[in-house]
Amino acid sequence: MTKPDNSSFTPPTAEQIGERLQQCAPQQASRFWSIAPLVVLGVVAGFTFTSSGILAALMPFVIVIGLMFAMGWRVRSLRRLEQRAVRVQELAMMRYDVQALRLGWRLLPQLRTLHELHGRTVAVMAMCLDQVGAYEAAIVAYDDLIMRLPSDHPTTLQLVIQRTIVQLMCDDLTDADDALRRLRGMVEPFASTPIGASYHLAGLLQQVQTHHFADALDHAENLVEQLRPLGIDAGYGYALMALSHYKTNGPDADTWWSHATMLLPPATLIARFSQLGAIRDLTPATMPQTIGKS
Amino acid sequence: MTPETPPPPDISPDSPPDNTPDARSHPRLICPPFDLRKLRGHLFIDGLMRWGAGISVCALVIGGSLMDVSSAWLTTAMVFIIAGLWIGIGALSARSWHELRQLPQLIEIDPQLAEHRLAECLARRFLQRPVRLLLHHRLAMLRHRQERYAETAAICRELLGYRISAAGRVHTHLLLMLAESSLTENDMAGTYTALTQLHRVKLTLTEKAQRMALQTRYEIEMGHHQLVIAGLKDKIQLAELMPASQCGAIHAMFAVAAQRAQHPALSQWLNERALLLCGNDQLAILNHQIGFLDIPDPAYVSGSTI
Repeated sequence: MTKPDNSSFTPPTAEQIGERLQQCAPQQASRFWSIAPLVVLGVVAGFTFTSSGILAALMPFVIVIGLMFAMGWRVRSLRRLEQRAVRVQELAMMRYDVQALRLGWRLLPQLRTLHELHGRTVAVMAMCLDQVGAYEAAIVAYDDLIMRLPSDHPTTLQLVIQRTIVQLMCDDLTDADDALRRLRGMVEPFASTPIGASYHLAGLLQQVQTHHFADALDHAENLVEQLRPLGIDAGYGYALMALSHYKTNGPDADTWWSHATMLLPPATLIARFSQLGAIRDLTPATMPQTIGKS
Repeated sequence: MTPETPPPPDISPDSPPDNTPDARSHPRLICPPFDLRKLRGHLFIDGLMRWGAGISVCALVIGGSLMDVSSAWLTTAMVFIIAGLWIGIGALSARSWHELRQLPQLIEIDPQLAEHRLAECLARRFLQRPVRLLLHHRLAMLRHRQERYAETAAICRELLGYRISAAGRVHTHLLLMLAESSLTENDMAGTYTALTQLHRVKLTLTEKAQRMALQTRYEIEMGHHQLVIAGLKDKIQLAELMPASQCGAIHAMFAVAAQRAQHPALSQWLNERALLLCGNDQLAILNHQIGFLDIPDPAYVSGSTI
């Protein structure tokens, strides 16, 4: 699958995404529609017992068959919605951020009564907004989600860390610092999980953004272990460590850049953190030619 | 200071009996080994009831319409009685539905408690057919978690013969569990069949990654190393969607195949990536679990060279 041309795409502004999320806010399913079938059945049963004739005898069965068809249609439409929500997730996983955003935007109004799917879709949209550089809009989406979840829920913790990273990306350093301080104790039970790893990445990014490169070097010893749960995204952390070494004339800039480019291509790293452009001339890890040929 | 919660009693064949009063009054139940005939018997009774109810209703409707119009209320009343009975069985099944939703998570966290709950649900005599089938799907998950692969494969094989319409992804999950169980049990024919079926159904991206991992293990065991490294770029992209440890394990498998297919540079690159993603300790644990690095090279074993 080749990447489509996204040059005409303009990401939504913070106001636009806020408005959209408000319009498509989750709501309780109407109790009327859940009670209506029982009411209809009750009325028809009453009618049947009080009147006579073939019509009265057959009506309950016609109604039951009609209700079964209606329930079947409802189940099928729910499955279709779930499939589309999964598609949004899959597009985001494959880094087709613009396509995921477009589909998510269109899908949101239909997910208002399906709270879990709604939350998942908004989370994916927030992540995609972050990836396409619409940081203010991403913060609005994360805020919307965080507000709806219990504060001690692990997902909330993950979302708060993601929001902190976005805040650091758009130089909102004060709020990010506050968030990191509040998170410190809370992430300890999640040390060897993606939550703990994201927290360490956020900390490293903060040190780079505030030009405390020498402080960043203090974390070098355990960095691989700490970031490992992130999978290939740990490459961003290794690249930031390479930059810290480079800025302080440290000895291991090449090693860290090699680790980073072993997991992610240099272009991807620089697209995410423009400051990494300063170390683009360091020696990257080379992918064997055999991969392309095999 | 909060009182310390005592650990839950453990009553299993491998553990010493717990004779505390609490354990004697509430012993943990254990699901009996999977019995194919028992499942078929239960499903037969469930089907008999379903068809019986349907045929009775139809007979009453037809009979009622042929009878005197004034007695129509009698047939309607009988239909409502049958419907009431059916709703009663539905209510019994509803409790199991509730358990069904919680069981996958419980199987991961506390398999013993999950087995206790599952045993309670499976002991119910009258259940709706989809509920009974889904309970056996959870039983397969539990046995898979307990590394009782032969039993897992038996359950999966049987369930795949039925149409479980209530949950669309159950069929795929059964195939994935069957492929892995067969692979671990060295049943290569069974693995091949399951993988072939997995290629015929529509999969999500995550399921495709899982299938790719299983197929890679299968191909290494069969000595098809060139097949493993064919289209490696796409396979690596798919592997990168998995959690770090699994992604690292797949890289290690690719490295084994590349080494055996005489691509040392590629093998080294894959190994370095595997180490970054997994770490030595994690790789050793995964290798202990699935043994992918100890798989003998069939070409070497048979005395030939690649």
